[in-house]
This record gives sequence, C-alpha cells and structure tokens, in this order.
Amino acid sequence: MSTRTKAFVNFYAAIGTLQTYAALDDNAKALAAKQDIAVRFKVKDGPDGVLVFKGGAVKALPYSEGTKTNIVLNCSSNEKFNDLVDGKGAAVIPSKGFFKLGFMLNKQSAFNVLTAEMAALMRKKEFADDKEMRLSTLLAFNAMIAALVQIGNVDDIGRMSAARIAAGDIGIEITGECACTIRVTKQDGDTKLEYIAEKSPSPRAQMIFDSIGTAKGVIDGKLDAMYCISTGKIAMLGFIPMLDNLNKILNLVPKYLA
Amino acid sequence: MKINKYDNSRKLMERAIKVIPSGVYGHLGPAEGCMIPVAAFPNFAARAEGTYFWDVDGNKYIDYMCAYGPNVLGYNDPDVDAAAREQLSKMNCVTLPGEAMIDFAELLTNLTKKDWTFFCKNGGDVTLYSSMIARYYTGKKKMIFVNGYYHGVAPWSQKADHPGTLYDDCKNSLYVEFNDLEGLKKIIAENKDDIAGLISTPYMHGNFQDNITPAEGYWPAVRKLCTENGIVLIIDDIRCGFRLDLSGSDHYYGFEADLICFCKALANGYNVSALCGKEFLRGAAGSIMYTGSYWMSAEPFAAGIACIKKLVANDACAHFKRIGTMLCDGLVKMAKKKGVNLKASGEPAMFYLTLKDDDSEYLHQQWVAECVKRGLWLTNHHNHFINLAMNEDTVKETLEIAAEAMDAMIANNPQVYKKK
Repeated sequence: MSTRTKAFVNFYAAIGTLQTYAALDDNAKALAAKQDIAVRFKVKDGPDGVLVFKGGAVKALPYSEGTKTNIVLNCSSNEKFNDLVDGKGAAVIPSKGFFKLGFMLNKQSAFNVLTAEMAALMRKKEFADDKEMRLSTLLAFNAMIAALVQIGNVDDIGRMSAARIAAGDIGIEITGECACTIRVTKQDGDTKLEYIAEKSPSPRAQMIFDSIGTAKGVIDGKLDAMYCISTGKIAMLGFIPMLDNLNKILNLVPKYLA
Repeated sequence: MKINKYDNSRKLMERAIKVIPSGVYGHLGPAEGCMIPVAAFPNFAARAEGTYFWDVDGNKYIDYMCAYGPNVLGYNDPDVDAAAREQLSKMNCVTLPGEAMIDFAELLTNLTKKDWTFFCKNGGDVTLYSSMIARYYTGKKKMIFVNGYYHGVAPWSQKADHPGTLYDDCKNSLYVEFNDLEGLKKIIAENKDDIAGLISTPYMHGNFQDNITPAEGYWPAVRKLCTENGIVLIIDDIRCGFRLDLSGSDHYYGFEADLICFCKALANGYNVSALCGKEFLRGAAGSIMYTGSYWMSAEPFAAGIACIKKLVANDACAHFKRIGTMLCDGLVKMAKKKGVNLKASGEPAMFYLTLKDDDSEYLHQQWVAECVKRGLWLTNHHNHFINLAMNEDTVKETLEIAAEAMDAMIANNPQVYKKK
C-alpha cells in the first residue's frame, strides 16, 4: 500500500464522504450548517484539497489557484496527514487562519462531530432500523467509489488498470437508491478517473446492484461479487473491458479503506 | 419462435453456488462468459450431438462456441468416441505410457513439419512450457507479448494488476501491438540481448475487439527479426490450430515458428494439449522437468489420432472456411437489410461479430441475448468456431433465428433505429 495513495483516499473518500453524509441525513446537514468555512489541506507531495462547509452542504474539492480559503493546513508528509485522519494526532502547521483552528482542534466542532458520527455509522454492524442501515450502506458505497477513483489515479497498480479503461462514462447504480458516474478521460497518454455523484446520461458501461442489501453484502465482504453476477444480483452491461479493469482497481479498495 | 425458459438451470445454479466458487467459474460461467443479461442464458447443458447441445430445460442450441473450440468434428463424433472406447478397454492412465503416445507424436510431428511433440493437458500447460524452453535455451529472461493476448491463466502470462499475480511475475514482460513492426524493432533494440522469446497468436483474435489478420509481410518480417536477434518465436495456436491449416497456422501464414502450441481442436473434446518444436530446442525441452499426473493417459491420444485423421480425410479447414464465409456473408447481408451495421472480422473459420451501431456494445449484447433465447448460441465478446458437422442447412437455420432476434433487438431500441 502506498502512503501517498492512502492520503488521497483519506482526503477524497474518507473526509470527502462528509459530502454524501450532509446530503443524505438531515441531522448531519443541520450540523454542517453551523460551519461556514473553507479549509485547505496542503499535503507535501500529496493531496492539495479544499473542504468547504457552506449552507449545510459539504464539498471536498481539489485546490485550484484563486480558491478562497479560511484556513490552510500544511502537512509535511503524506504519512503525517494519514496519521491526522486516523486520529493519531499528527501535527499540522497552519499558514493561514490561526484563529479558526477550532475547526480542527475543538472536539465539538461540526467537522469533528460529523466525522466521528459518520465513521461510527459506517463501522456499525447492528442497526436501529432500515433507515440507518440504508444510510450506512450509501455512505460506505460512496466512500468505496471515491476511493476507487483515487486509487486509479495515484496507485501504481491502480494506474496500470486505469490505463486500460477506455474513455467514457461508467455508470454505477443501486437500483432505486442512488447512481453515480466514473468519468474516464485520456490526455497525452495519461488516464484520469473522475467521480461524479450523478447518473451518467450516456454510460458506455454499467454496473447495477439490484438492491441496497446486495450492495451492503458486497461492501461488507459477505457477498462474493462473482456470485452476485452469476445470480443476476449485479448486472454488468456495455463495454465490459471497462468494468473488468475497474474491478481490478476495486480489488485494491479494501487495502486503503480498511 | 419459442423463447427459452431456464427453470432447471436456475435450480442447479442455486445448488452449484453453495459448493463451487461463482457457481460456474471461468469462461463457461455467467461472469467471464459475458452472459448479458444473465436471465437470457442457461447455466448447464444436459447433452450434445453434432453441432447442437441441449440445456437442462430441454432447450436446443446451434452452438457456434463449440465448447470454446474443442468441438471441431461435432459433439459425440462416432469415430473419435469409438477410438477412445477401444483404447479405454485396453489401458488409460498407467505406470508407463502406451504406444498411442508415440503414434500421436509421429502424426503431429509430421503434420506440423516440426521435429518433436510434447504432450500436456491444457493450453496454458504448453504456453508456459514454451516460455520455459525459450528462457532455458537462450539464457535470457524477457518475453514479448502482443497486446490483446491471452495465453492462459498462469501469472507469467497475466498483467501485474490481475488478482493473484505479483508485480514481479510480470517484470520481464514486454508488450507490442499486433502488426506493429516498428514497435517490435524498437522494443528489441531497447532490450538487446535480453529477450528469450516472442509469443503470439497467429492473428489477433482477442476478446472485445474486431479481430485483426496479419498485414502483408508481417510474419516473415517478425520471423527474420527473431532469427537475427536470437529470440525464440512461439506461436500460440491453441484456438486457431487445425481450424486454419492442418499443418499449423504458421504454415497458413507462410512462416515457420520455433515452437507451436496446440490444444482445442486436437482431440474433439478429449483432454490433451501439445507443443511441437524445432530440432534445436529438443535438448532444452528434454532438460526441463515438466510433467503431470494425467499427461500420458492413453485415451486422449487415441481420440486425438482419430480426430486428426478425420480432419485430414475431410479437408476440414476448407470446409470451415467455406461455411464460415457463407455464414458471415449471410449475417452481414441480413443485418444490412434491416438497417443494422453488423461487422464480421477475423478468419471465417473463427469469425468475430460486432454490431457497430453504438460504441458501448449494448445493442450487440441485446442481439446476442435474443439469439440465445431462441436457440442460437453466440457470444458477445469472443470469436466463434465452425465445426465439421455444420453445413448449409445449419447456416440457413442460423440466419432465420438471427433475423428474428435482430427484429426483437430493433423493436427494443426504437430511438436508435427509428430513421432506418
């Protein structure tokens, strides 16, 4: 496992799933609404992204020149950033926004409470009701796809698989629940995967889970994906080599999201 | 036309899935076999005869996959089965091999114009062995693969991201495109004196792509480059062997391989594979300890001898080409009349079909599924095969089913075909 890839997964999949959490859960949305802030995580040789809390919505975006930020948190290495996300308390050096550091340091800040609640929800094995199970699964599903995209863009083996995916949209869907897109683009011999939290208008290949239960079973490792394909619980259609290679990246996700 | 139902297949799949990973793993299974959608395909066969098989629900299929190649004469060929039974009545798997092994080796060595033959069981056994011989003989480590290749499931022939394969398994693999002589020259120059072998199918019959036959002069030029640079030229004739040319596909395309791998069409379904090689590699082949529990069983040798003799007696490759051409021409013409752009590529004996009206293959997958539901077994991702039991009537029957299936596909996609 590469620490650099892990850092990208941590920012865009682990922290980035706050976006889905705030979008799907009213309590999370209300909590997120308490914060109006843009925090830049600048990791040396790693992700350089901005986490934005605005009007109850959360977004994890790549930093680009001119993006307004309230806090800039510098991390001297991917390893230290990973420790920070894993709650091992690694030091970050703020270069901007010293007076707003409560965002990170205050355990009761919206960021810290949301992160802790979301992590607990995603780790949960027993649920109070179907609604909670559904929310947990959708969060884990989102984290899995977001991680897959980062692994395909950063990890050496993941990039090998990504390079063999033809350009176009791959639609991933849980029937009746959610749909997202992995957009594959090619430029100057490089392949880029992009996660879009919306259904593709024209997917070149599709992977469709027949129910939230199937998605949960696969995410938890209780259902074998090949069994699901064999029994029609997962439908694969369209240009299959795109999915074959995507599945090879998917195999790497548990290493990074464990 | 009757639309198939698969109740018994599904019941068997429920049993299988409990005790066998994926229920049916590998290329005969729903996942690797690209059975899209799975609801359109059966899972288990009950019996087979000639060019047909019947599933466990009694549905009958014209089978253009031919068990993915081994069915070269027709299922349950009486001559091959009789030879196998006769051999079984004497001996099969014994402490010493029988004379049939020599008889079969003599037959193949003469037919393929090589100097020796080595027997194994599966295609992957002989492709792996060929790479070991090339490395041992040359003392070099790198192997050139042609992109889009498939030479079996062992790690040496996989890419580093394949589950169960290590990065180190592939660090001596080099990759070129088929028909790309300049690319090949470049790779040889960059790895001078470090390349043991080049392994390739005689034409590019990779999955999920239009199949590509060799450009004029390609193979003689590859042969020359290999000879000049001390590279062992290995032809993986597992799929094509004895379907294009009974002397091997190197002979068909006008060059000579150093090693050539056979399997599928060798014995009409009895399990044997063979590596035929040139004299200068005999010593290397004999020096490598390479064996298996069933590799010298006599029954498949007897079946193989009967199979090859029948292929020769019936000028089988000419038949495959004639029937394959008739079928491909008929399918493309039928599709064109309906406003559908169907392309047949590769060699007619092993034709590959793609419907070109979208770049996602949804339409092609739908048409193939409609064919299977009506008793015509095609695949949406792999080349097909012709066998000796197919004839003009088979083609006629095929075209009728394919046309009705295409009408169903068109009716399900009015947004695509409204103008046509």
